[in-house]
Amino acid sequence: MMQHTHDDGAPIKDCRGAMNKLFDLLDGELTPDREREVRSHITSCPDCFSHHDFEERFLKALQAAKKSVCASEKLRDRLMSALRAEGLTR
Amino acid sequence: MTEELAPATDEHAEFSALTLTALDDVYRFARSLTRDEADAEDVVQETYLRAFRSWKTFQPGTDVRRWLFTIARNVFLRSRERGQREVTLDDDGAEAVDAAQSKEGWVRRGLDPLLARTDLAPAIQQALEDIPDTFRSAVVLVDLEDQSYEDAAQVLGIPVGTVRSRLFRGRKLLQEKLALHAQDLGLIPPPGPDRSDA
Repeated sequence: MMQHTHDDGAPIKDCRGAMNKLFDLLDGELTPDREREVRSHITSCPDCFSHHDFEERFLKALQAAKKSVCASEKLRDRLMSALRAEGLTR
Repeated sequence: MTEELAPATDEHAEFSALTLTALDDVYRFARSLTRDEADAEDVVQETYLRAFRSWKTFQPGTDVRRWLFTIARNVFLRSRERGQREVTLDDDGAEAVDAAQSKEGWVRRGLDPLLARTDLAPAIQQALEDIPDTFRSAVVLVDLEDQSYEDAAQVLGIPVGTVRSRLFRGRKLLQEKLALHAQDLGLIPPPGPDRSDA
């Protein structure tokens, strides 16, 4: 089971160690050396590769979903009116 | 707010150029805080007015979105203090996360076909609204708004380790919500009585 832990600097020895770092890896939060170490395990382990692939697709889906929520034109107009009333000239 | 902090006229264009391009991002973050369109718009407007009045305090070269997110969160918390909006802050959620993790196999089977669909955004937005506030804020900042753990920690006023923990929990809860959506669509059966259901 994957857990959320801090990086204790210990070498990645097994699947558990690699999966503990999975989200840090996907979020770009690992040092280059640490990233190489985790990726090395993941690419050689079918189970971890599958887990990595799943979480990566999940995070990409989240990222893609953000485009569905935007500020409305009404809000933009209201905001510009408020800022101009506050003194914004440009 | 003191007038001397407001930008000089020649700084207005800079304010507009830097902050207004982040309007969608600030609105999304405000929506994640308030879970209400009208309340989010109020938070956004107040955020930008405060940002304008305080523009001289913005440090050039730093992340303007992080600055705006921080102001938005403070505006939201202030409005909550005034009782304009009651939102339950649930930083625990441990039981729900444990339950989600115990069904990890079922969740993955449910999300596999779902993640291939192109119409997933509404379900993700609904799932985001359904998870506790504290987890949602971390997920929105990092997963939707590309903030680093360190930046999210600054915006939320919490340690980096707490951001990491909330992200993990929030993502697991989101995945379970989406698996339930897949179940509703008939893509997977309900989880079996054995919660391990690997």
